[in-house]
Amino acid sequence: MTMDIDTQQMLVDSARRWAEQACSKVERQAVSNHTVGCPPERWRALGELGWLGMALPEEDGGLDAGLPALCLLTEQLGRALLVEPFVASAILSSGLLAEVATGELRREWLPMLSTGERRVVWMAWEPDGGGALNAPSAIATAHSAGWQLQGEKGLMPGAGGADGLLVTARMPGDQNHVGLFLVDTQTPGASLHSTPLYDGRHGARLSLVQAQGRLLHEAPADAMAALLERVLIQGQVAHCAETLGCAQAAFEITLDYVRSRKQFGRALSDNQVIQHRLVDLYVEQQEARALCLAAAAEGTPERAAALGARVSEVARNTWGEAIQLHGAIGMTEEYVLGEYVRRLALAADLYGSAASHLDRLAHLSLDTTP
Amino acid sequence: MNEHTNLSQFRQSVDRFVRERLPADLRQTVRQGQQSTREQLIRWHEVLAAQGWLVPHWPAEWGGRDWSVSQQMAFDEAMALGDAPELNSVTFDMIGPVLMRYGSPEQQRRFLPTIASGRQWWCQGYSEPNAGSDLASVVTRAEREGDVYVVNGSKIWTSYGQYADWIFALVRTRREGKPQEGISFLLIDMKSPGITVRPIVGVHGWVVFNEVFFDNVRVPVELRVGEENGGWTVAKSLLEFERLKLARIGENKRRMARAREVGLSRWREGRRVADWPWYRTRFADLHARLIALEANAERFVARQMAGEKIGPEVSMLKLRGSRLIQLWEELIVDALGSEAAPLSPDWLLNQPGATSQDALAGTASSRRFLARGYTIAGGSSEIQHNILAKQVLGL
Repeated sequence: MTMDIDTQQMLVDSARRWAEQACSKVERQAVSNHTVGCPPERWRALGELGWLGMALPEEDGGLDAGLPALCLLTEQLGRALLVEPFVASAILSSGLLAEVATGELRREWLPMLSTGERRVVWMAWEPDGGGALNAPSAIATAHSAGWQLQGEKGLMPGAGGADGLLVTARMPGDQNHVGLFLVDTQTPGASLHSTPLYDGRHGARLSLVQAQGRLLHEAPADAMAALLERVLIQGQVAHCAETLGCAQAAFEITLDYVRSRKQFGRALSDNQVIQHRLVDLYVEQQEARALCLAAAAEGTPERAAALGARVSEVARNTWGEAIQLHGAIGMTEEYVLGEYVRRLALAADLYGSAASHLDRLAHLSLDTTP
Repeated sequence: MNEHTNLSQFRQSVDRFVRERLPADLRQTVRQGQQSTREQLIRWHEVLAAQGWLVPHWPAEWGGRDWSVSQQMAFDEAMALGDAPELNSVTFDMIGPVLMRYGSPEQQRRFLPTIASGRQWWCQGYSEPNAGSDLASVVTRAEREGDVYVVNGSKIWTSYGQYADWIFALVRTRREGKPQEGISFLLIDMKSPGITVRPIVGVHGWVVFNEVFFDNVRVPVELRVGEENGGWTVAKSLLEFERLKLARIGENKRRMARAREVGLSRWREGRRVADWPWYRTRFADLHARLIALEANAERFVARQMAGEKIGPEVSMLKLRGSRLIQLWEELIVDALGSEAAPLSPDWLLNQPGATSQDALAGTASSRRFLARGYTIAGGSSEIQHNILAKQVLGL
């Protein structure tokens, strides 16, 4: 299903209105101060708004809103500096579970993901921060009671406080077979090590020591990697939309500032050097936004890699230029820009750094015949 | 789309056409980055005109096919990738549409069919030694003597003036009042007595630029477009035509294909250039920029197709597209290394073991210099920045 333009606009408006109340500085601070950065009652409130089901199929109690609509939403959430791990959990991870869950497990989990009663997180990264979609380092062994998992997963935003974790592991016997498991966070042997991140969000890494997991899906490594990449691209595109929303807000704050700040008897924005630098930022952002919406409509691996690279650069340029154009005030904790700076700085490296996206794009363009 | 409902099918038919009908000598000239002659280009115009593809974006009334913007862009892209020369936009995208909008019925009947046939070349007489980006300060004057204007002064940076049959020029017809309100738009036959063309050789070795001198050149009044002193409106309207094309997607893709070809075919210190980390990172960075530029251009195309007005925001396409071409050319030169140094491709072609790919190397340096023109002509990047700052950001 794709949302028509009017419905999309209603979604954007309602997100904006909600964020004005629910994402004030005081509220954001409270969420950041929560032990894992995601208070359950606030998460359920997102479910009541219908947002947690947007990435889920209708027959599972979701809205199946499509990635373009999700991107318009996450753009607003990025503007509002939402602390909760909406992209990591409600798009990337719910999306993956919906791809693979079947039968009783599906009926048990998916409706509760929609309402916010449960939250799932895919531990998508290896301890070294890489994706290794076709060669996870964790291993699975079969026991009489079921599957046991052994290994480590790297820092993942939003993992703390999740009810279920999705993890990949190599299957016994055949090194080229990969399994995708659901691990209950209460299971003995599964320990999440949470930490606040520098942008006010929280993340956690995972240790699995003979931890029980339920096998959701098993496939040859390449087939599994293809499935995971498809889902990862969805999350990455939504993350880019969120980041661009944040970048647009930081840009607007900067624009207002240089208009009102006077030096040498005139507004900073009267100087052509300032104007042209603002134009460069604006153009880069608009271009990246166009690419983001194109990738949401059709997420080819090429587009996704290009998007990742461009948005990383836009995020970095935006926070750097925003500070420079503000002057010293831009570096302070108390001024409103600070939170945007931290969010953008971290966002540039989540879901793959600019360098890794460029590597991928180079591979796609140079190592294959067009 | 009135002719082909399927854009990719259409692309294939253009690909095939360029492959089969582009004269071999012209293809070679373009691939080698050498300057095409007027004769070569007019020959190609005639081939395109016979196919109905020289001015397809014009309305049917004037020999066009009413192509949509997206069809036109697909066409331009296929042409660029097939090593066809860039068509002279002054002739086909500027004066043609200006005459359709502002020309008298006599002017339209006299010029439009000839332009559509591909046999007439136009150049643009805007810039002067002291009027570049600041066009309103032109001083070339036209004094009325009965039914003629007598034109004196000079124009400079006149692209392909040496090929041109006609020039459209901004001339001063009034010195009082606001500078913009004393300018008229004249069509001048380049064979008129009193016109001298001085070619200016560029750093790339090409003659693109010319200086055009007017010494008591007599121009019939009926060759004025628009009102006397109303030329500024006509001149400005040029900026509205074909602005989407200024993203130069096709021209960028042409360069990307060359950069790729050079990277895959050249070796450095025992390693393919395309395997060196510096090359890969830069190639991917430019490719990412191109994918973004294309997505951004499609947004404007969609807007135009939906009948919405394209605002000043579209300046960003020119800003980004022109710069990106330069970055590709730099990458090509760097990937070629010393191979890019010889002045002429002939030397390389005569070396032992030379392949036809070496034609790419011979004039890489010319192309790199030529590419600098993109950020100057048609509203420099600085002017585009000003437009975006003032009209879009409200600064």
